Amino acid sequence: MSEEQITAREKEVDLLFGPQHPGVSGNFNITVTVEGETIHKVRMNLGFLHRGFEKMLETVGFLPGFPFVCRINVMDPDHNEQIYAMAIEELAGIEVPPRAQYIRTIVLEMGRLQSHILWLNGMAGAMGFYTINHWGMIQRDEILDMFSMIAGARVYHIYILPGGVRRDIPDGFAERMRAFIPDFKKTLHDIDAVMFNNRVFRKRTEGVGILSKEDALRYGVTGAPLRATGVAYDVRKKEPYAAYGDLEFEVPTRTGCDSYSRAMVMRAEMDQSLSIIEQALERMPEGPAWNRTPNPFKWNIQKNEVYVRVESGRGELGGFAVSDGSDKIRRMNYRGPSLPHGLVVLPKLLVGMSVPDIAHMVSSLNISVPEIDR
Amino acid sequence: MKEQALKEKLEARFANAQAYVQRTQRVVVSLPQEELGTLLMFLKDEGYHQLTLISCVDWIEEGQFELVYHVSSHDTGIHVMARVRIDRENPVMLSMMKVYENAQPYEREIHEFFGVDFTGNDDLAPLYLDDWRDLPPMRRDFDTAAYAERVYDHE
Amino acid sequence: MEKYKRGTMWATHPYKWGQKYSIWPIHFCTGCGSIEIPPTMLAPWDASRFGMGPMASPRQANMLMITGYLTTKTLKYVIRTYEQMLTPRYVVSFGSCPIDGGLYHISYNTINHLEWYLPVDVWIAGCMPRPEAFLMGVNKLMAEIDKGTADGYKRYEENRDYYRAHQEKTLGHDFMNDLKQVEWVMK
Repeated sequence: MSEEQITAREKEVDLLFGPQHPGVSGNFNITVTVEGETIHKVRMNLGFLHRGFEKMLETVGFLPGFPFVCRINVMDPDHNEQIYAMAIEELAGIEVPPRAQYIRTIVLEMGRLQSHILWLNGMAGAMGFYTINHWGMIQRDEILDMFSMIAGARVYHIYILPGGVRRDIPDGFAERMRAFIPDFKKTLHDIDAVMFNNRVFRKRTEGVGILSKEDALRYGVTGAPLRATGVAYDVRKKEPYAAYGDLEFEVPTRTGCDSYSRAMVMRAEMDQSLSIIEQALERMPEGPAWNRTPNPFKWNIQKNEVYVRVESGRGELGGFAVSDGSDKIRRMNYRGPSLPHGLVVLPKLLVGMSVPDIAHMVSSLNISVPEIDR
Repeated sequence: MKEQALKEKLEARFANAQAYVQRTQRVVVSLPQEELGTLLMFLKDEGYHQLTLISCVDWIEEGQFELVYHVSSHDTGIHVMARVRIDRENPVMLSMMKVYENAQPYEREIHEFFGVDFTGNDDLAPLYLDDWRDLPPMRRDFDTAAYAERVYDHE
Repeated sequence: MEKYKRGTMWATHPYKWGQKYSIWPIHFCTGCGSIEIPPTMLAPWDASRFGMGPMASPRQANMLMITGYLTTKTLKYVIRTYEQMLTPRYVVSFGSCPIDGGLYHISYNTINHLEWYLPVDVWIAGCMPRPEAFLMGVNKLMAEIDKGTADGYKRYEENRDYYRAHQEKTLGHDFMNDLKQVEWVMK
């Protein structure tokens, strides 16, 4: 059979990328049609992690909802708790004491750091830099052990509650954190030498996966992919929450619009997180760590609708909460930042790229599928 | 105050809209569903480029769905919530994809979970659930615990 | 349990020695419990000192870890993957969700009892289990292989009708041929 007789469709092969695939960080499926190694068509197939959180939250009371909300995104659970706590505080008009705001800031930045290390895991793994996975995991484990010291558990903390935090930070935490920060900086220095300045990494990421500023604004992109196009939009600066209004930090941006720029923005954010934690430990005020909330068995909130937002490791994480006078929330709609990245941007970017770039682009846009599926 | 200025601008331009300033950086506006497209195009021209989210609330006692379109601006930092009410028995809404391109997945999700039909959006295939044959699950008359017991505890 | 003279297992029971010390889990992160798998496999807890290392293809792996909850969509792929693995193959359930639904027992999309669909050799409780608990579970699996009671795969073959009946009741009659996603792309 000659080359002309083979039709175009017969040259194409349908591939299922995931859910059982070493390059899949999470549990999802991308069905691609390829010719050789070039991708022609992309179809996202999600829902493998859908548990119906928003429905389950409507059937339990306000406080019992907290074990649920941290599990919405396993990679960065603390920001989900912060959203639900902020929503209930705004619906019911509850104040948070200053010490609790500073403790929340430290916990949220620790969550951001360990989420960025998971991003590094995915990015390095997609390109074969497996040593970075080991180095990163050792540092992440120290962060999880510090969480264990504060909240009692490594991954799901149920620590940020309406009115403050569940309990004050224990003695010895500040010393442990102050010892961790220079150690982590040393590891970041090593990772810079091995990965970020490596010729292979730069060749694979520079000029790859270009997302222009107009496209990013059009598709509702937030977080590091937007900051890599030059737009300095960070919810911590635009609408300060917790103690961010009192602390000094920068919002790193780049103008390259490619995968390398996004990686450098994430790398710079890790430095900023360490600086924020140091400042918060220095300036932490004295006082109570929580304000009393009503008896959870008899707590009704009057009719109200609010929208709250935070800057999670991936972008603008938002929550639209509706209460109707009863003792359960009427509607809690989470806005995962990965939804436009995964469902609108990724299928457009992948067309024309090659198969090894699928895992790379999923990590580069920092897509976390539990946030899309909920 | 920027929020007050936006509220007055909206009420001047749209006679049937009721707007109020909820707090700093939040403006809420309710209006009939036919005028939503014009409102969103007006806001987009004012610099509200980011469609953050489209939410749906089931007011089963009133026989209506409430659709809330969240848009925000990076310059002013104001987050606007545009609310429309549609009929619950026959829920149909015009798709906003022509104004904001990333409205597509949110409308697909609301179609799957509430049963709202968006005319103009040609990809409303199920996104999360496989072979779902029951009521749209986020409606208030769907009982998730009873369903789980019936289907997954069936022995 | 037989006691081996130190260092003689490879001579007297070469198959068991080989199976026990080379458990290769397949690379499939099914639920939220899988966030504790990277620390276990990588430097902090280093599962490779037990002979474990992730394997990409089901044809070359011999352990399936169900890390947490399973939605009906994932269950189809898990059953397919399990049936592609070669015997002897082991299933380790990780977390409280496969036991009775865990926190998500009221969810409309997650299954509540894993033992109706797949034969499980070791159960690890926790939400989520720490890496130490995971390694203790793996050690228990090794002890079961020693005793000869890690025979979930034999139970699956002998009771195939029981498992198939439960799978079809939850997933529909023709779930193994469900390739809807490929039809979408071909449209």
